Amino acid sequence: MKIARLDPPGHIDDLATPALQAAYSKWLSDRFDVGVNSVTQFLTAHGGGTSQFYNPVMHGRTDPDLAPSLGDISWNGFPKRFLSTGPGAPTHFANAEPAPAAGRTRPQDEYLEWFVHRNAAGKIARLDFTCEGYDYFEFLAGHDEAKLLALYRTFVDASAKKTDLFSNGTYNIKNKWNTKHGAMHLTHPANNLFAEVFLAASATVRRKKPGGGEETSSIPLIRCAEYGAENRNSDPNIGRAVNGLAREKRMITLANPVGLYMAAFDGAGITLDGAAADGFFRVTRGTFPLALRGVFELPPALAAAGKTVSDVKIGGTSVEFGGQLAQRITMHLVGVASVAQPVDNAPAVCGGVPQVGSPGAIVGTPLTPRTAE
Amino acid sequence: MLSRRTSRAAGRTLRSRRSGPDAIHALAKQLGEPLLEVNDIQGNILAGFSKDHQSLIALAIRDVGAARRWLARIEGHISSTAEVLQFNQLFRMQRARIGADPPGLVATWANVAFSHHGLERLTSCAHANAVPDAPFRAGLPARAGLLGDRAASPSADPTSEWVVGRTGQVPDVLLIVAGDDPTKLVDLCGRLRPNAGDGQGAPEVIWEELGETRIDLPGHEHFGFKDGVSQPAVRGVVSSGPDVFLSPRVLAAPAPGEVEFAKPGQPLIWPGQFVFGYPSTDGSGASGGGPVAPPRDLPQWIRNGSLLVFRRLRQDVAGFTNFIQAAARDPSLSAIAGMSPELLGALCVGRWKSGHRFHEHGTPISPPSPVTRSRTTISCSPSTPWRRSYFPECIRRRLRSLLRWPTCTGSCVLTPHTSAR
Repeated sequence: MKIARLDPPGHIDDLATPALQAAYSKWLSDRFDVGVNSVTQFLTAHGGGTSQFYNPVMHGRTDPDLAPSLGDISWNGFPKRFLSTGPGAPTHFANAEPAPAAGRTRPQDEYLEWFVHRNAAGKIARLDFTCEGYDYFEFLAGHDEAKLLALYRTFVDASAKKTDLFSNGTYNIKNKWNTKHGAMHLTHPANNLFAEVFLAASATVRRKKPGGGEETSSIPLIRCAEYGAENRNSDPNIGRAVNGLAREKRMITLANPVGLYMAAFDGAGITLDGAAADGFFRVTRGTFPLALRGVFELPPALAAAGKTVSDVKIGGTSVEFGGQLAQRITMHLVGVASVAQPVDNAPAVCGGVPQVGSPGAIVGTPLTPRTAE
Repeated sequence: MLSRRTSRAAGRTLRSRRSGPDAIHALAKQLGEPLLEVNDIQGNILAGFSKDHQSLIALAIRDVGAARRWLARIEGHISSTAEVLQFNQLFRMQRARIGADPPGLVATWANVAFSHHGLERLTSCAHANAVPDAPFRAGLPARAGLLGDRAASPSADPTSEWVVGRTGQVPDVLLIVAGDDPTKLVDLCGRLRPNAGDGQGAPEVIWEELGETRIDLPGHEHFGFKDGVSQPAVRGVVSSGPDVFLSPRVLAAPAPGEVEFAKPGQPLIWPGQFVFGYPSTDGSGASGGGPVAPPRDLPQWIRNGSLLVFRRLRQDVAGFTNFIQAAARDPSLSAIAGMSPELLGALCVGRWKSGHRFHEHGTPISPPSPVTRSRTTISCSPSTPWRRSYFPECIRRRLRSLLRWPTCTGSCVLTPHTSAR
């Protein structure tokens, strides 16, 4: 379905003026165009076909789409590569959250990152969770520095200064308030909105099985199409779902507002001194199922009594790491697919879709596709 | 609960391995799958008792010395995977020849498991804590909230309604006795229960229950669905004879990256998923599904042991039936082509009552008859259009809004799998 504009993630009200909203829509629309152009060129080079991925602002489609629930793709927020390899082997929670340091990105690559606030005794005082792409903040830095600084002061530290956030006039996504002292937005190179768009675009290309037939399973698909890393919860799952819609010959895009979201927090079995503690998680930016930011902390009265998050238990196991609560967060994005089934592309040979063109003039950290570690 | 054979049995196994032919070791190496020490692994873990009658006996240790004497007395009755596997193979061979269950071919098996507290009392806290599984160490009552058991109030104990195993009353030992012949089962239970001959302070039976399969619909669970059609097939070599694999392979190996099945509906799983000390299926995705070696720091005494979840459930069969009949008429679901209570039930459970898969090549298929073994399978591919479109996302979301899962009443279920995760 054609839409008038692309809105900021979670319909968040960061963009105060119509001009800013239009600029953001253009900025994101350019990324869709890169995806469409890349897929089109790839298909042309491999026997022809029409891109089933489209830009909902630029494309003229007016026919109806499937129900949004049919394009809902979810995954767990804790990085799969740190999970236990099997019974008796530990989950590597400590490796998933190394000690924060200025300029160090977090190794959390499921579009969800978190920051652990510890008190002087080393106990966990608070956990911040974010799923906002760093390129969105680069957009803010390029268009509304005051808003960017206000967000840092509201959600990370009131003492943050503009000079802390910029290096030589360029927004530094790995500034100290987003690495050493907190988490304002995602830092992992693969955790950006463009990566989401490009993954979705690449996954619309149907693929040949080497031995004949068409690839349909998640791991063979991602190995063939190279649109992400197979040791993630997110990439193989997103790719498989999108490719399934493509095999149904539908036109596909991402739902507005485009973003990576926390869909839900599972508080079952979380207790403090035997009483339910599932209410300690609060969404602080956006709302479920389009939550952008959340915090897990004790109510003031309990904190004043000396209790900390480290006193919380999940199924009888004490909370020692933020990852234990990240495991309780379901992430998702929403794809949109046409009811009509107008495009019947032939499956293509294996190989990644090369990126054609650059998505606008963004200075700062180069955008990285999902294949990067 | 931890479930393993005792040290004397382990010694027997090691001796038999040393004196046995080297051929089987070479064969296992050649096939790339581990040689399973089937004489040292309890029979219900990898082979499965597959009995119509089963007794569960929960015990509390009163005096440690008396408990050890009792365990020494019953040790010889603990059935191994080797025994159960061979019986099951013989049973299948005779059934294939006769065309029905072979009359007179019966067996009675027993296995034993220990809770963290029971293990701690029999050994030491350090030994009990060495079991590399946090849920085991925490115990099931601490996990009640995770399992969805809700307390009457936020501060109440969610296990207060449990019939067995509530907070502070977790059994130390669980005996599982199963047989084809109920008379022989009762007889063995009588011999295994602690008695006056075990001396003062022998373990006390704190709960006991006899379970039976449905005699009106053999091979089906209580909701009427064919049972046992999607069990994982465990990798591993057990002999150098014709049945070299624990799980016979019917299907050819798939393309790289695809899930490999032993036969339809039975994905192959590395044995470390079920038994300590063997390679397991990589859950981290780093190696594309494993195998990965077992932890190096695993205590030797845990090798060939397993974890068993003992959870007593009540199932409201009438409530489920009423629910799917009502929900299938709801406008949000009845608009789906072909929707019926039978289809909705199949979508909830994952198969038609007959055990047949409910879609094929992207097209929903009607409940077939008669049942043929080759098609008794769930199609696990979520990528076929019909399934992707309507299950699980669509159906689950619509069910969520409709669903008031009925409060369960009825029978008991034992879940003899490896992990409480």
